[in-house]
Amino acid sequence: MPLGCYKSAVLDAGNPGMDELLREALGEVAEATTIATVKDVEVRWLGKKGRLTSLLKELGGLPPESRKARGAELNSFKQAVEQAVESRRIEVTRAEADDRARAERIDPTLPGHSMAAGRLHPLTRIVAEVEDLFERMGFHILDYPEAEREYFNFDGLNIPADHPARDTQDTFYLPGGNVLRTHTSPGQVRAMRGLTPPFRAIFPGRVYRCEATDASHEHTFHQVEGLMIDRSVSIANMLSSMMTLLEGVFRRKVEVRLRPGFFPFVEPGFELDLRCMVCGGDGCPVCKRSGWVELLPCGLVQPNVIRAGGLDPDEWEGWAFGLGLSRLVMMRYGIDDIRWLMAGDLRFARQF
Amino acid sequence: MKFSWNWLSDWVDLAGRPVSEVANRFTMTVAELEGVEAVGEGLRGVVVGRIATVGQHPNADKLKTVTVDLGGGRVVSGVSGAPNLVVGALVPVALPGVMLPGGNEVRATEIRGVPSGVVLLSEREMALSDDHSGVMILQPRDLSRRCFAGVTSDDASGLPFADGDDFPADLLASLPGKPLVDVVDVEDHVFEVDNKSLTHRPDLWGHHGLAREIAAMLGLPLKPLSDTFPVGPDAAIPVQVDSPIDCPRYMAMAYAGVSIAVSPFAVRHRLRAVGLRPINNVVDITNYVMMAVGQPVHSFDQRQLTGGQIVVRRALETEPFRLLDGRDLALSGEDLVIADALRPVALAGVMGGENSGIADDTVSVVLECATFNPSRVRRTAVRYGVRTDSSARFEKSLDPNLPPCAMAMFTSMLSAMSPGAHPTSRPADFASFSRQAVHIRLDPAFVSRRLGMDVPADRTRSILEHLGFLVSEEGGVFDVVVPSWRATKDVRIPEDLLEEIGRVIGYDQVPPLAPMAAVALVARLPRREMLATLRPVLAAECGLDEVMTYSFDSRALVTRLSFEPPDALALVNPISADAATMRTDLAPNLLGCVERNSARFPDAGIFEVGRVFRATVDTEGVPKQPYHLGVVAWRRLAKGRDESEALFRRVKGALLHLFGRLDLADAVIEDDFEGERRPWMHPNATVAVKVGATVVGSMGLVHPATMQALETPGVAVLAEIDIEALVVAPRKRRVFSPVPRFPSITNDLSLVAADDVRAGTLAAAIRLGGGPSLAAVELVAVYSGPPIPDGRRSLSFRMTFTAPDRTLSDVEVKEAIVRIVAHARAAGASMWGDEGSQES
Ligand SMILES: [Zn+2]
Repeated sequence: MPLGCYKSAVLDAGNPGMDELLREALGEVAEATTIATVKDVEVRWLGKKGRLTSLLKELGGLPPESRKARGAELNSFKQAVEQAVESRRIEVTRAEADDRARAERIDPTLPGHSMAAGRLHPLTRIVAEVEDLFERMGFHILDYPEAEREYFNFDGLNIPADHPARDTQDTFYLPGGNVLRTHTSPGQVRAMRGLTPPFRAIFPGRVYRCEATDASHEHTFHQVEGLMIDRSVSIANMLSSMMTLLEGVFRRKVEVRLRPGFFPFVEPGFELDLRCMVCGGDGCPVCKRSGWVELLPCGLVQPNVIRAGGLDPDEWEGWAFGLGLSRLVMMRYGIDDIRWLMAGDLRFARQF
Repeated sequence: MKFSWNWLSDWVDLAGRPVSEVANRFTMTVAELEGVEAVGEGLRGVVVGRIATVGQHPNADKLKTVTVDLGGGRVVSGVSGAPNLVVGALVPVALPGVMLPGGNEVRATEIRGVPSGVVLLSEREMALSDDHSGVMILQPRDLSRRCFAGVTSDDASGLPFADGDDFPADLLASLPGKPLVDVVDVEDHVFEVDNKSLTHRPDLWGHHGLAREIAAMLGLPLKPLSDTFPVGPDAAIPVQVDSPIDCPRYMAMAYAGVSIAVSPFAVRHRLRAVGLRPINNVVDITNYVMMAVGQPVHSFDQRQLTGGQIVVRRALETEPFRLLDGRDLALSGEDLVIADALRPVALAGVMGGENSGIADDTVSVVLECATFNPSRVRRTAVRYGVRTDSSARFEKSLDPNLPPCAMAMFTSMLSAMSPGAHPTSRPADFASFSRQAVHIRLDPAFVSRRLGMDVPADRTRSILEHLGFLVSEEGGVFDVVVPSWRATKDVRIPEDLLEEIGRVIGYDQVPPLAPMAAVALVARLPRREMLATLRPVLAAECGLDEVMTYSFDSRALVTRLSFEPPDALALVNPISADAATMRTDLAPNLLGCVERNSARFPDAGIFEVGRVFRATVDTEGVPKQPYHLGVVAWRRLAKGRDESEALFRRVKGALLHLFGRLDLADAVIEDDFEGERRPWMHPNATVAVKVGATVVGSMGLVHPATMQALETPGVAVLAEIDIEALVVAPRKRRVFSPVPRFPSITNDLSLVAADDVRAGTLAAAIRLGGGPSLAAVELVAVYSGPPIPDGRRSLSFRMTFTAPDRTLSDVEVKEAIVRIVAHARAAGASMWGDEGSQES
């Protein structure tokens, strides 16, 4: 109840003593500046042995007709003091917090505590991104052997023995007609044998080439292969899918071009170039001044490969691509030496 | 492979075409050009002069004074030390102010008292070759075709003059004063293409084939190769081909009257431009023919062919043979050789023999123009590591129609470059190849459908015809005849024709079109699904950094670890002796990481997920290659049991957390490991990792001997888990259990026990004693040291009591604790402070 209302009520009752008393109580409340003194005032006026209690005790001695009025008067007084105490308490509490805040200081330049979390290998991150991208488009995510039958790595991909293309892939040979796969392409034949067409799938993983290592060559690196098999598949379809892939990976519009490229397991085969993202096509060291960066080989699946996959090339067609993930990781993070990827060095691992 | 703009221009008229535009079109329609290099640059200031007079220098025996006619009545004089100054010769000269390649500026000077206002230039001074033996004297043969508009030649090489021809009088008069670059083709552009990108195109390994491709690309006419040539009167050299499958065609012809000499500048300049070293006229011609026609040819010194005959046969096993470059081989019965009556004289298609090569005194030559089986050439070249320009071409499956063209060019060039040389025999021509043309049925609608854009049938037809295909139509379908130079293996099926059409139209014309596909749920591989959770949990939640290491074991490392990997998969051709087997465990390479990292990172943990390999194969013959998870954590500064246990608990905690996040059944990581032991496993601190009852791996302290071998102080804990076992391990279904409605009571109990009493044993005793009201037991502290006597340690357990239906009374809890203490004592523990329990 607002104080003003009470005052008029008390004054209306024509009791100047009561009014004086209230002024005194409210004065004390107003003067209290700490929680403790507010409490003291509260006890002094409203407590068991407080002044209000003693006034209430006097009530019994009044005649019944004035007792009621006096009772109402005291009740109003009590409410007014209680209310004043409560709001003063809120004010004082707030004032004390403000005082504390004014006194409180920290040094915000102290370094943040590092979380003890470990880091994922950057290849894991890229693979997860690419897998997610393709899964969103309804691709199977598959995983095939790294030590692979020579048949799947070569013959099934239209690369018979003595084919000169075998030269270009420095192969690690294993006993028993096996090799360390030189590309993720063997998955094309395995996927066709394992899935029911139509389907689309990608298969990322480690591949191996028996070649000397340097800053840009590794005998072990990562690729992802993609394959779409359907009744009718065109170069236009492949081009669209490659652009979708690259826009997903780079998260921006991309400009690409297709050049003829020879791979025995696709016909026609292409090299897909990406408009250089460093110079925008004007020419810079990254793109060897050409404005284009060779990014991925792709093409329409060669009919012999479809046949090796156990399908009838008159019925089924496809496109396929291969993307170098190690290279993509290096582009993404500006890694200047491919050997970091497999070095198991925490100075590298902890940067991601 | 490198090829030259000028050389291409012998067959296709590229005049007025910007080099960069042709280069770009080539990249976009044929194969990527690695680069375009300008040759003969910086000679714009050099002009042709005619030596008018030569006189002796008054003050120097070795110097001459010369006057040079620059045409238009202009004559300059100078001093030269060149030994080959001849009055009347046309020579390149530079006047004062001209910059020469290499940045030298010609100045007017005085040489031993005689002023010199002109420099007569050697080839080296013009950076055209390293020849500095004298001034360069121009021959008619060197002149550019641009000097002879309208002059035609029957010379198969396309060059207008023969060596020894004199300059026609009109040229002698008009050439002096002209810029050298307008008279001689010193300026050229050399294109380089990666050999790999031409693997499938046997027709593109010579300039004529490249010119054909460029002509088709630009819609220009192509001058054909000549395949006719003069022949000699004698009978053909006897040629016997023992296995026609290895040699579908063999042509040979003999020439006499040869004199070995240096080739003219124009020939040397072209050879040098494409990366070949000029040697002598005969050898240079064979190289020139190979680069022009794409057909390797070989010249024998006829004197060395015993019996005057040629036998194409398999080598005898271990038959000795010395290559032209001096290497001695012991041949294999798989090699094809060219032999005379007695012995091999060449390794067919690869390299000639030292016994029969062209020598300085060679006067008669036998030329071989043949087609060899690509696989046989390739295997021989690989067997001896002798990859030559010749073998690189033969292994691409050359067109057997090329040898006559090569023979024609050789014959013509030989008579031009060695005046008097002439064929003495008719050509031998053994030919067993099929002349049956390859036909492909092509529906024009197929082209449009698979390209994804509308291509009119007549466009398809004209593109194919431009590329040399013959096209006829019947009922709307094309019958396409493949030209012989594309028919050896390159073009067989309609898809091959699709490529021809697509690349000529330009793939930039194809509009991207999203494929239509059926909506279907795509199943996930269980292992991939597990790994997708496992990796982030181990990194982000367990604080382990992910690494990837090679799939090979390092022999040096496993040897230091005293590890002989069982069932190891060995590589047939390892990259080094150190990396000769595939890893059987992730542990060795991870321990290698500990060694490499621990100095810089004294307290860390890493993990790797990857395949390990076995020599054992599956039913398909594929080596077994399960995925493993390896975890290793180390503390370089750790001392004592406390820190070892802390590290152990860190890794154990990580695995338990991981298994929980994978919803695997309750894991147990405390029972002794009973599987096959590795040398790095600690004898009494290695436990099995079990999910439910399934053993999925092992975990334990790394053996101190291993740490020593790694030269790493402190301790390490290693776990290796078989992910394939984890994938099929029992799973737990998460079920909600009601939150207790009544308050629980917590009590701590400190036990003291001998060191070898396990915490697990005491926890089990506590559980047994606590009965159903004991909801949880947790080890909160382990302590050893004063005042605990040596050999004993204190273990503090926090016990939580609760009941589902009521608040437990103090009495109930006290009774439970009494039972617990009794069981703990029975398990070998005493109470902290000798008696009773401490309650909090
Ligand atoms: Zn750029």
